[in-house]
Amino acid sequence: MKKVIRNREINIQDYINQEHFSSRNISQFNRLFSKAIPFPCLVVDNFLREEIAVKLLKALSKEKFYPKESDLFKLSQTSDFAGTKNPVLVEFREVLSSESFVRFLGKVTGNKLVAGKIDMAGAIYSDTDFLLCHDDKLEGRRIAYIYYLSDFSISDGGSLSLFSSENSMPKKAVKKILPKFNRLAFFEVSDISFHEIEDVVSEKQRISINGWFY
Amino acid sequence: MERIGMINKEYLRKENLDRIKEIFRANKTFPSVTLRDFIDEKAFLKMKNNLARMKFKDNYNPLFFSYKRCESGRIVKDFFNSEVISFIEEIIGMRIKKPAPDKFMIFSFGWKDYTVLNDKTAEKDGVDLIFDFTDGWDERFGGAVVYSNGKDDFLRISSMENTLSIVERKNSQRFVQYVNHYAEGRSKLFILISL
Repeated sequence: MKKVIRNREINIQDYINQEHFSSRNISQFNRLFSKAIPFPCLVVDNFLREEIAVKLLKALSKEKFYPKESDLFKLSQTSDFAGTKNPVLVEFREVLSSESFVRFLGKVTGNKLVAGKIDMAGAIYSDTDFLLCHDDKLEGRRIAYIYYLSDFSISDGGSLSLFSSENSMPKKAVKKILPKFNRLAFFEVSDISFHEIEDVVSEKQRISINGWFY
Repeated sequence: MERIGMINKEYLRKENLDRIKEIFRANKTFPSVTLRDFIDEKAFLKMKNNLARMKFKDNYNPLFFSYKRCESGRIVKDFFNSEVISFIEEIIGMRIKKPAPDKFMIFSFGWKDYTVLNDKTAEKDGVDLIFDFTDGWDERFGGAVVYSNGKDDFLRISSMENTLSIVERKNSQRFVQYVNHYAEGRSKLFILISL
C-alpha cells in the first residue's frame, strides 16, 4: 500500500478509511458492484478519513472553476488535476491512481485497470445546473467515479440518476445516488451505462471530484 | 401578395417589408428575423383558444429529447395560410414547398424538457418558422431555441407571445435549451414548421 510521492513515502491508508480494505469488505463490495441494478455500480460512504476530506474541500475551493454550457450540460469545472499545483489535490490524484488503490478497485469491479492513468477534475453544480443522459463511453474509459464533497437531500436535486436500458437505449431512471459528503460512487462504463445528473433546484452547491479510471 | 388580413399591417408596408428583408439577410451565419405582434389580436386569441383544446402527447427519449407534442391539426393550418406563406416567401426570397406533415408540429416544453443536438436527426439546410404562443416566459427559465453551427456561434430565440421567428438553417442545427425549475408549472408553447 506504499507509494513514493515527491520524495515522500505515503501510505494510501493514511487517506482512505482502512475498513474498506479488509478482505471481507472487498468481497462484499465486489458482490454488490456486480449485482447492482441497472448496471454495475457501488457507493462507498466515509471513503476518506474525515480530516482528509475536509482538507480536500478547502483545497478545491482555491481552484479556478470555469462555467461550461451546451445542449447537454450546464456546470462549472476545473482543469484536470494533472496540471494543478495544489499539493493536496496532487496528492489525492496520486493516491487514487496508485497501484494499491487501482488494485483494490480492480478487485472490487472485476476490471483490469491501469495504475497511474486517471482523469480527475473538480465540478460544481449550482442552482439550475444539470448534465443530461449520456453513457460516458470514450476510448479506454473503464470506471467512472464521483467523490462528493457536499451534502444534498432529495429535494435539492443534483442526484446521479442511473437508467435502465432496452436495445442499448436508455429507458427510465431507476436508481438515484444522492451527493453526500465523503461519499464515493463509481460505475462501470459500458454501452448501457446511461446516467444523468439531475438539475440542482436549491441554493446549495453540489461539489465533487470526478473522472475515470482506464 | 394575397392579403387575408391576419398579419399585422405594419409588417406589410413596403418600407417595413424591405427593412425586414434587410435584417433577415444581415446575420450571415444565422439569417433570421423576429417579428413581434405578428398577427392581429383576434386571430391570435382564436388560435390560442383552439390550442387550449389540443391534446399533447409525451415524447421522451432520454438521450435526445423530452417534450410534449401535438400533430399539426387545425391550428397550424390556420396559421400557415396563403397570406403567411406569401409573406415568408417575400422575406426569404424563395418559393416554399408544402412541408411533410411531420414538419408541422406544436410543441410544449415544461420543467425538465429539452432537445439535444444529434447527428442521427440532423436536418438539411432549410428554413424554420417558430410561432410562439407563450405568455410571460422569463429567459431565466431556459427553454430558448438555440441554433448552433458546430463552432462557437449561436443564435438564441427567446420566447414571446404572438411572435414569429424566421431562421434560415445554413450548416446549423437547433436544440431547445433545458427548461429549469423556475418555470414551475408553466410551459412554453410554439408551432415549429421546418421548410
